[in-house]
Amino acid sequence: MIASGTFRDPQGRLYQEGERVLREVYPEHAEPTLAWLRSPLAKRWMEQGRMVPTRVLRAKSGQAALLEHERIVFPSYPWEWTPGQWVQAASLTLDLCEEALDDGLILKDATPLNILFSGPRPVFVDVLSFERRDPHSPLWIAYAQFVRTFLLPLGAYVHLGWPLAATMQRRDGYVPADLAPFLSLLRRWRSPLRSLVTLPRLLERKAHGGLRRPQVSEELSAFAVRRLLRSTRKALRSLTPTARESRWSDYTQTAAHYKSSDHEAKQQFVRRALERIRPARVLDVGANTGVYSRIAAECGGNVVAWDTDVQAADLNWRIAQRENLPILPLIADFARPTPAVGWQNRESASLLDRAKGKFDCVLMLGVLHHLLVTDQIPLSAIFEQLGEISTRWAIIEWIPQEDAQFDELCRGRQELYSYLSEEYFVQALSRRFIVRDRSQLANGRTLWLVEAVL
Amino acid sequence: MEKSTGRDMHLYRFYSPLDFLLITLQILAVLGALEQPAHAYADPGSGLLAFQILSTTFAGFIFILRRRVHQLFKRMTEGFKPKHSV
Repeated sequence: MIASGTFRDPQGRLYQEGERVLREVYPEHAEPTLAWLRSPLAKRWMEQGRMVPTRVLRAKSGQAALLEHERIVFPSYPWEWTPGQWVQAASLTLDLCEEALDDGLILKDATPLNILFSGPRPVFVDVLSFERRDPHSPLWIAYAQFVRTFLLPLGAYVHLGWPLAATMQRRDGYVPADLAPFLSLLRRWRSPLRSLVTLPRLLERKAHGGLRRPQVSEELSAFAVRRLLRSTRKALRSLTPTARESRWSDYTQTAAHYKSSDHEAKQQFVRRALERIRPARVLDVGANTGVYSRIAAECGGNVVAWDTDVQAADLNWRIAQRENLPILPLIADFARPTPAVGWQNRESASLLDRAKGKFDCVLMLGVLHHLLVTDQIPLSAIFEQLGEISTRWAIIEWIPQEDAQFDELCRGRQELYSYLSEEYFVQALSRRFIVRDRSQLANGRTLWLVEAVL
Repeated sequence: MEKSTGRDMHLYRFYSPLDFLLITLQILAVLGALEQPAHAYADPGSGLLAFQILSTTFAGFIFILRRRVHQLFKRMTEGFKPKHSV
């Protein structure tokens, strides 16, 4: 985040002071914001964990108000979310907007950037996004933004296969004209893309030169807004992606190089290590569908799980959500981390900036050989990076050259990696870590519990 | 090769391949006319607001229609109520 804080909202700015997340509300907007935060509705949402818990630090008449938000364990951005997380975030936005209507309020911003995930649950974080609704207006002014930033990216993902991660390039989402040329005639005229892409495009010419905002009776206004929210929810349902199979989504079940006894031994080692060190915050690198993330969560850890495979991460999120586990799966690559984006590259922090020194323990299971061979990152550089992320512990799996998976990844260039022996691994490791436990599986792989050198 | 069904044969009797071509061209011409020319200064997102206004207008019609039907039923049921003697 930019040192002076966020700058787009005319009502206030969000900034960090050490580990604290503070929000200044400018004097002319302080009073309504404070009244809203003290309302039973806002209190209920905070208790339910649907809106970020916020306390008022300073509230003096005629002056800017100062708020403090509860810190979300690991801030994430929509371009790191799985398809299921996108739908869940969109659904929360619509839920809150609809519930706010009963209190005479409405959501004036509807973008995924107003949502963060706390474990598998979405949390609405922009408390300045609610305003008093004009009771005679039949419009939801944030509807277009909701379509641009939620529904069109989901539509592009479902119907065109555009990755949701591509939204990193578009702060304000897509416009109908972005999708239209790539849609078949049938898709363009079928629901819901007919209402989200085709008709809005045809109406653009009419809209050119300004539109008159209608004013109607209170009864009709409420009827129209609720009807719009219902139809928007219907569009969201029809754009909900179905789980697909991918290269990695059924890896745990189909990994032929692992016998069930090896799986069991590996899980036992990881569980034993985690029970011994009891980390509060765990990062699972290359988490796949989250078998080890769930073990870490069962051992009391708050887990962030990175994986590059969309379907595997989505499955991990679905299980965490169903079982209410403190796991936040994200689509993230240790070798190509999400960059910092936005104005001056400082609006959204890079993945590594957010991860640096934030975890007591990092799991790197079945991932090291991919980083070494596929991504061609030197072992010493991997451990250096690991040392910056983990404040103390790491559980690492070392895959010997004789391993079938290692062999396959080499693609005939085995001699290039002939130096990667276990001795070399231990030597590189010992510069930053001390070995606390080691176990060899029947398939030749070894598991290591290591502690950072202070 | 599969034999054509009776219904297919019926269709072909009335429409020659030239007719099919002409109908297709007509559909394409209508759709082509609906395509938008590029407006360099048009707000590309304004169509979504215009669409919302259009669907709100439609909602207004439904609202009025529902109210009229409701009033009509109310009047009819009131008409059937037995009159109380004073």
